[in-house]
Amino acid sequence: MKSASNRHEQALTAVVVAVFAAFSVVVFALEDPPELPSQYLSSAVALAVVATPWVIAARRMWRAWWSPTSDVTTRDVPSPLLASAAKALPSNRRDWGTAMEAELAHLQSVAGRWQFALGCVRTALFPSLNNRAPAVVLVVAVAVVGVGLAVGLALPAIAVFSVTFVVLIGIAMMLAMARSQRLREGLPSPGVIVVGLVGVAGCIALTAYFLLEHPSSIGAFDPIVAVVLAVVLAGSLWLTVSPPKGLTSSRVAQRCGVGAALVLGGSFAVTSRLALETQLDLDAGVAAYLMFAPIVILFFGSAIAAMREGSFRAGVQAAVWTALLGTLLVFVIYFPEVLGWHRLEGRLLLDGETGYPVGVNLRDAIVWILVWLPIWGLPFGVIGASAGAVRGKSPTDPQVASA
Amino acid sequence: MAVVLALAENPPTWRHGYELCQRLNLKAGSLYPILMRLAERGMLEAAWEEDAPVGRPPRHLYRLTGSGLAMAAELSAASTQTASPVRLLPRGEAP
Repeated sequence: MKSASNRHEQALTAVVVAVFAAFSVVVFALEDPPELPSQYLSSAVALAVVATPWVIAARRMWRAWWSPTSDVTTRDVPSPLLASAAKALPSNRRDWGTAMEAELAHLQSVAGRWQFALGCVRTALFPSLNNRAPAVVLVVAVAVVGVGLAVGLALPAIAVFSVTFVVLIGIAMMLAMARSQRLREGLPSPGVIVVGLVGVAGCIALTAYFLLEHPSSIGAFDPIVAVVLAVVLAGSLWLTVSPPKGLTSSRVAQRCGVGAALVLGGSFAVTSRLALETQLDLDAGVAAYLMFAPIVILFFGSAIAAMREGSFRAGVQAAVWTALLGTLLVFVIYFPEVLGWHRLEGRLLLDGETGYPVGVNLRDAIVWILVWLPIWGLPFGVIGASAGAVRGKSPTDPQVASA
Repeated sequence: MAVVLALAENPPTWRHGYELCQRLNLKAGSLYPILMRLAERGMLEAAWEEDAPVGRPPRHLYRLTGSGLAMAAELSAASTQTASPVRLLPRGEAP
């Protein structure tokens, strides 16, 4: 049993490493090739540094939820997979989810179980729109064309972002309509909704303002960066207003997530202001902050949630909310800070280098705040959740069983 | 159409989802949306299995209602009269 579990963990490690390796290949393909061969080595080291926490976090989640020694009896992947997807069904179709789960319980062959479960997951996650489909597609198409034309005329630099964002939101709306009652069922706490909505709106408004006021940013806002921004913000909006049920079961986790996100955003602003006022360490920018602060804040925020609930799952939820909301807040705070740094010999906020046009900061903010920060910080939140759940466990606590 | 005709082969018999998947060579992702729509249109009735094996949850069983059987008869007649394929029309749409 133990050797099988080890094999599974090794396979999981290989999958995580493969995902990061594939990501690196894509980045190398999109960027200019390195000038020196040694840069490949430094890239490989950087990849290892980022991938290692994810390997540890993935193994923790495996042990907590799926391994034969876990508290939860979920060694068989198709069953929990289908159970999770079935929860996404609207209440008027919930008995269909129960029916699918019951049917799966009668199947023996591994291949048959996987095939059946994946088919049911597709049905649960992408329910048909029936007769409303043409109307919804028409509304989305009109919205895309309308937004594309309006924004293309008013602010051409942001047209790619706007159209991509509207398309993604349109797809999300179609899914929400297919699930009709789901929006009302799974709303997160008001704190999460307020911070999430303000964050997404602030990110869009500040990006547009920056592109208008600082034309040097238009060159840094190429179509790939615009699509990345649209995907991240549409995903953030979707998670804020219609998160999966697995993220909303603990109010404590949501409070810890909002609190840790505010700490992340606030400490980022304080770090930047202190550096500007004292004129110390300006050459380093905020890179060190972005390297270490997410580790500490996500670790302890998630650990506290896990400890208070006695639940690993609650800690992971807090980690996701912190990463999501904290990223949006830091992005919003980034722009006002950029201007102060730029006045000092054209310094970049990220790494303090001088002589750059202010617009370069826009690309830095999207790549290093919206993409890098959550990828870097999230696994430390999962590790913190694991540590907190262990400390918070009590033999008499009924919630331990649901960790 | 194949699902309706399969259920109409032996109308009183209750069928379960996986059996229909196997019988019609359909994936669950294709079958269940059809079953849901048929049930929502009142053409399919569903019930929970009463004699489920010990340790297993009862399965959902399906069979056609009266209106489902009437539609099956229409579909069957249409498919024998014409060589062209027959399709299910959305509710309320005239043929």
